[in-house]
Amino acid sequence: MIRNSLAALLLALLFAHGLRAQELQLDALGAFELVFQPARPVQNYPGQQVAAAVTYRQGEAFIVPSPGRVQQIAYLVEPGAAVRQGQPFAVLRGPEMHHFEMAYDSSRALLAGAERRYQANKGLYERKAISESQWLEISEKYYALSLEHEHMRHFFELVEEGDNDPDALTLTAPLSGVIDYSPAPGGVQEGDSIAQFVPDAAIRLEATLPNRLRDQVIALQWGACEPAVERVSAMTEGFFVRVWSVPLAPACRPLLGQQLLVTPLLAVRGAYSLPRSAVFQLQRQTMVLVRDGDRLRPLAVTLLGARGEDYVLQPAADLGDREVLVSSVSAVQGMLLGLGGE
Amino acid sequence: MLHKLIRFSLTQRLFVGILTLAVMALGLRAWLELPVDAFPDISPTQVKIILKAPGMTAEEVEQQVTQVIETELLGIPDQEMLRSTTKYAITDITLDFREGTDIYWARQQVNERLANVRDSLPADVSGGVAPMSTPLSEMFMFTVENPQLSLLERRHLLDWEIRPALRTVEGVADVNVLGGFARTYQISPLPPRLAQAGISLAELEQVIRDNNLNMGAGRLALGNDNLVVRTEGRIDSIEELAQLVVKVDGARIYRLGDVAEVEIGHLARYGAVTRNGEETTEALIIALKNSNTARVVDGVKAKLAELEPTLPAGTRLNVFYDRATLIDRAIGTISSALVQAIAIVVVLLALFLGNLRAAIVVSLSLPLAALATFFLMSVAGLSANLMSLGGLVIAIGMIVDSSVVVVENIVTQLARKQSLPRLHLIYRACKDVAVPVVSGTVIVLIVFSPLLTLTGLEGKLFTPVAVTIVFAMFAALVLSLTVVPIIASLLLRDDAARIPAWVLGLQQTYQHSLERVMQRPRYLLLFFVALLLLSVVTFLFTGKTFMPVLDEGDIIVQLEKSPSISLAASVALDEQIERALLQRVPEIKQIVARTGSDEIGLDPMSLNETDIFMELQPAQQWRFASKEELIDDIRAVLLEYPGINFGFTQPIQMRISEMLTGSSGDLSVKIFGNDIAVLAGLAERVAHIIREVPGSVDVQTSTIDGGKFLSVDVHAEVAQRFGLSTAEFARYLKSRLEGAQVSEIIEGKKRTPIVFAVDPASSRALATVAALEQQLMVMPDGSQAPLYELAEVGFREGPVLVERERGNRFAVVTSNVTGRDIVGFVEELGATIAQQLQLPTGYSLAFGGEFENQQRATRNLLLVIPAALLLITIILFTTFGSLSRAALILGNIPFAIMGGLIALFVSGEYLSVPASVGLIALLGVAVLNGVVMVSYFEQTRLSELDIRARVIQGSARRLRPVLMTATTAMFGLVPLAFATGPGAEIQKPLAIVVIGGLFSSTVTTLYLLPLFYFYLERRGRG
Repeated sequence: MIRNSLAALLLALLFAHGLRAQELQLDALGAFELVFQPARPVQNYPGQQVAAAVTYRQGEAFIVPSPGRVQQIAYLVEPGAAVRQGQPFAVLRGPEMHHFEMAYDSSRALLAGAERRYQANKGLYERKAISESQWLEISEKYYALSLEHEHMRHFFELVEEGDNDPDALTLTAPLSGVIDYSPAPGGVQEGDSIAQFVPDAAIRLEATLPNRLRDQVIALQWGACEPAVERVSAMTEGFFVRVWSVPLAPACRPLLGQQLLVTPLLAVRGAYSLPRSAVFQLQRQTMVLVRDGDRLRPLAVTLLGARGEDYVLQPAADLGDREVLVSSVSAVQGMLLGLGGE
Repeated sequence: MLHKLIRFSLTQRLFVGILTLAVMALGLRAWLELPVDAFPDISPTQVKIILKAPGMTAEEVEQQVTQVIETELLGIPDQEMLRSTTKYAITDITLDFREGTDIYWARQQVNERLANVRDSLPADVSGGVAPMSTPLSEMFMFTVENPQLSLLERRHLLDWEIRPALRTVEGVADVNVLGGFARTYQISPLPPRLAQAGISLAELEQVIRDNNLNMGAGRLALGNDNLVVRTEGRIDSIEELAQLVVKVDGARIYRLGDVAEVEIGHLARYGAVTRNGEETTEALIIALKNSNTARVVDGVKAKLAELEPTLPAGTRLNVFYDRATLIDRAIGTISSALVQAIAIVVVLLALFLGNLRAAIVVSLSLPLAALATFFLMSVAGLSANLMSLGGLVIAIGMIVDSSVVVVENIVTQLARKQSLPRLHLIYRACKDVAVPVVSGTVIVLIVFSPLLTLTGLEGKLFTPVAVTIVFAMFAALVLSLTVVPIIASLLLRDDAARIPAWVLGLQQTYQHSLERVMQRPRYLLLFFVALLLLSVVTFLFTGKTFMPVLDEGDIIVQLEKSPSISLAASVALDEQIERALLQRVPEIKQIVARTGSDEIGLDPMSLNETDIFMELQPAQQWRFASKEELIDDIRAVLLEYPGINFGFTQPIQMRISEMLTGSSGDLSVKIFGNDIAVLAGLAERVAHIIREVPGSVDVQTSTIDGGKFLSVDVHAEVAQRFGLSTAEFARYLKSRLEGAQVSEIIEGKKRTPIVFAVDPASSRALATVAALEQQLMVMPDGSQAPLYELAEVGFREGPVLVERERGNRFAVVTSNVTGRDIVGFVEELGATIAQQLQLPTGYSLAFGGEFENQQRATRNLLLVIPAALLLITIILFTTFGSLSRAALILGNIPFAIMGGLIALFVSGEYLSVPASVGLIALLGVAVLNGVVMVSYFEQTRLSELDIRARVIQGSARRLRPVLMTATTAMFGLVPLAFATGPGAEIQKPLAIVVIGGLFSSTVTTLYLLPLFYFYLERRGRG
């Protein structure tokens, strides 16, 4: 025990002596221009650029399904265009349109008849004037017609009024957002999507990052935009993990589907930003020279990344507001290596 | 035969006159056309191989390139030295051949051997045999200044406008371009985009290569005509490059601009140039070996004058080194000394002869002999330089000797007024002295023959001296027996023999003093013995060195910084030092500093090495009396910048040192061994010991270890799953870091490389190890993966420099020596090292540098001088038929050397090769004086029987010729001894030795020789 303590003490003394040996008096730097700069604390730093796409998460789009087979669709806006609620976006053409209207009218008439029948028989049923099975049949019929009508009604709510062409229906946007459509080559069948409407609040960035960064990434940056990362997939895809940003603000909203090169911003604690000229290598370590009164003391740092002309680095000891030498550093490095003079 | 020559000359005066005029015309033409340089060509037959291996560490280059080539080269015959310097991405292999080896043969041999191993070298290795130049070939340097142009534009101007034009100048071997940014069309692939498009980097590269070419498809016969069919795909502009279709996927067309950024970029920089603290670009003109430097410089200047108006407005070509300046100054120094020497000799002749016509006759032999010498120099292929012209200056005093003897005898014969035809009298006079004149000249020629045996640098420097002296003496001899009699026959009158009154007075004084000496010789003998002993003491205390340093006018300071320094940091430190020097040393006119390697690789410095070239103001504007004081002032400034090693040198001095030893410095200590770390440690200890030895300055250890590398070890099992080989991996990384050339765009005469690279200043550039680890790699299948999943990144250390000599690694410590002689310094150092340093097994140590040359020169001279003395003895014995007479004359030699050594000591000069040459010259002159005196004693043996009277009267009569030969030789060298211009440093010790030696030997000839002759004769008679 005593032997171990002595060994530890000896090691500590040797380490302290090593550091002292590397310290330099400022006077010893002669006529070199000495520029000092305090290290600037930073909370994040940029990683390597990755690809990202402007997209939306599954289920966040409003889909307009087709009530039946459509022979021809003339879209009035381009995919990805911003539309307002009620803005015409497509004209459906073909004899089916007339049939749709007829079907809508008949469904309305049938529903009205069914409703009258339902109301009329409701009192009879309450009075036990009709059997349970008869009432069940009347109710089912009514609700089925009601549901069918509602489907038709919802669709026809999107149909612009005042169109006199019996073979055409003009559809309007159900909400404000970005329209997206890609009709199948075989035409639109009943139940197929005529278009999707993505609310502005659902548009976000999706990117894949190296797995190593999944816990560090806090935002995706391009240009002046820096949307925070909202979700990180819990599954990896090979070497990468998928992340999504928060919905994009209008000022930072590229076109839907646009591919971007974005820089992931990685969170860090206890890191500082310093000019690259402050950093040098010594004894297999990356160092900076910290001013300590009239002395310079080498301090080991870990380089995390670069931002502009600066490095983002993590020092072995807190730098606080101490100044770091940012010029003539290589000369000091030479001195520490024993160079100098004739 | 001699008689026939004299008779022919006198009978065919017109013919000989015309022949003389023809030789003079040829001599004049030769003078105008002689190649002019500051130095003779001192380089050995040397072939240099420069190979670049981008991205490879020094150790890898050594193993995969240097060793392979060295092994192959070792078989070439006639090689004297094989050495190499290997650094990051480059290797310089130098092969020195035996003296006299034909350079073209040597280059062919090296080329053949290199071709044999080409296939076994790594694929990326480029380069080959360097231009056929010498270390003195760097003869013109300038920077391109234009504040309106960026460094990239200035470099482009140099690369594609100025360099091609200058290469057309006759004698230019190459133009080395340094600094700035070499323009490229830079393609920065965007890995995510490549992955989206499903294109790998290799595919992208292949697409660019395959599409950027024109090809011939054959010919199409159209009726009676044939038309060449060609497919054209060459890319002409950066816009076209960006539009290049790289993939078509259904309706999607991917263009290069979609998957990469295409912009103007620059090649990775291995060096930079700064001028007065700001970055610039520089061109360095390299002359071909054996070219006429002065003419090449003129050609370059003319071409630049032609070019300058065509360059962009505001462009200035700032010349900071012009060898012509040094040549002009050096040749000016020597020419001035030559003219002054001729003037002094003419005045002396007039004074001694007391007859203007006789003086003119003798003096005419000077220009005639000089012109004939130039003609012979041109025939022999010698250039006009410091050394050859210096030889002529040395010879001036001796050139007239033969003519003096001939003319003196002619006037004596004419004065007798014999009733014979005038021409016959002249013929008889010439015939009488022909044999002594020829034998005297032969003795001088024999005396200088040892210089022809010198090898190495000293041989190359002093062979021209000896050859020029031989030519001049030979020309003077021929003239004295042919042209001089003719001129004498035309100019001399019968009363020309009258001895001037002052000479008569001098004769009387001398005769009285000689009589007194002969009566009481003891004091004089004691005096000379004391002087002889004193000279031995001065010899011991006189410093010894190889060669005085020629003041080239400019100063170079070599800096060495921390080995892992970046180019930007290195340049930043240089700029600080440059600004400080300019501010505090007003003697500096401008500073041009070069950091890192040049483009060709002739001087592959690392990023931590800088040569600061200082152009100085004229010496009249200095605050200091000497250059040494100025250097001290600069040194004081540099000492204020710690952490940087520095040393002083000069442009030519630096190259000569590097040529001779592979390193610069008066002394280099090479430690041979295998382990780089051990070598580095030993070098440090040796450097420490050297610093402790008094006189050491600029002690430097070449930094060979301490290189830091990032090692990327590919996980083959992962990478191979994606079909990614290590080579592709490396190529991919190279495209992100150093840049990899893919193809080139040809725009007229300009060729701009297309490279895969990332702008170091862009945010996409890899700036940290973490960024490197996160770098997305695009796989051959178009998918991507972060680098850390495919490879392990770690730090490694290794050598930054590997130097080898004859296949053995070594570390070198260099030092300059000041305030003491090198030989003494090395002796003390050797003893200290032996005492303090125990070398491990397998390690050895050798001293080199100038010390080595000095030792070799001493060895050579010690072998050859005794042989020359033996030859002289034989001639003397043949002439006098007596060994004792020969010994009597040879006995004058120690007294001549005595005077030379004392003069050297008093003047503060060191005993160097030029001083040794002076001592050799003394042998001849001392012997000649003795011959003049003794031959007269022997001639009057029958006419005067009294020995004492014969000796005293004979000595008095021979006073004039002895003094004439001695003073013309002595005073002819005075201008050289007092010359201060560049070039004077080398000849000065020689002149001082000869002047001192002539003085003492003349005194001993006039007093001791008659005395000892008297003793000899008296003892002979019993």
